Amino acid sequence: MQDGTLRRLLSVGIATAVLGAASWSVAGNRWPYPLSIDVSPGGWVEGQLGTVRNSADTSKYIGCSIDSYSWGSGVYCYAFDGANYKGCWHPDTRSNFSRMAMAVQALDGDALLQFVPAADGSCDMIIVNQASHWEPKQP
Amino acid sequence: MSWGKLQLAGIALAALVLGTVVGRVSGMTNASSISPGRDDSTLRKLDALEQQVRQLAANNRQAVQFASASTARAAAATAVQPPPLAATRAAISESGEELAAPTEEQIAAGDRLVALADAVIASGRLTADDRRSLRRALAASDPERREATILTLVRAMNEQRLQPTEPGPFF
Repeated sequence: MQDGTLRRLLSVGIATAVLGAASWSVAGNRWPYPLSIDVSPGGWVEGQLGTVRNSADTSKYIGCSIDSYSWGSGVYCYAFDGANYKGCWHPDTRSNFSRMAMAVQALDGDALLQFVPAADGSCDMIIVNQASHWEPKQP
Repeated sequence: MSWGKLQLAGIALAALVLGTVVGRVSGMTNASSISPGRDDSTLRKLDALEQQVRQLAANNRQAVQFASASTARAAAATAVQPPPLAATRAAISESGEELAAPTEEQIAAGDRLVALADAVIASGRLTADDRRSLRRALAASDPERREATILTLVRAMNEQRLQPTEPGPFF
């Protein structure tokens, strides 16, 4: 093998190693969490807002709202996977309303949301998780 | 008044008492060493100092009590207070009073709300127009049927008997 070819191969190898090391050093864990709706009674509804938003299926969505009216307030979480819809409404007449509202207030565009509707339509559970491994929403 | 100052005052008092006792004892043996006038003056000073020390001790006790009360007030201020709604409900519950009964208008509005919700569920679709109509009917209804109707609609959606035509909040 000629000296010129050897030198070129060596430079390409070094460049590849440097680029690989650079990309490895900036990459943390990136964990997608697609939408999942368990329609059975007591079934969980979960999905990370970024993953759901960025999915190829444009019919899917998941989210929550805090509704305040002159007659009262409630927390509402909902999701649709293109075929099934599931939600829960937690009114302020329930003793644990403030805890549910606190969880929903922590929700932002990059969070993981999990909730479980009770048999009567109220919320048995709302979990909001913020973490580095969730993907941000793309435009 | 700090504890250190109180201790110093106590030591001074003890020294004076000791000095007086020594003076009196030495006066018994040598009457010319302390004149009667000088002895009275020392006793008056001693009484005054004793009063001062008592006052200092009393002030110190008050300061300690004040500090304890301040600490208790600060702890009460930082304690988690129940939300106003829960506090109100607890007060109502404790007093045995019931919430105001719905008016006839609210009952009539509640009837309309239930009829509207039934019609929406029967259609199988929750449209933007339905949401607007439900919002108006909910505002006029009595609280019990308002809550029951919302949860009935949610159950219908969870059982896939009713599907919203667009995403967003419930109403």
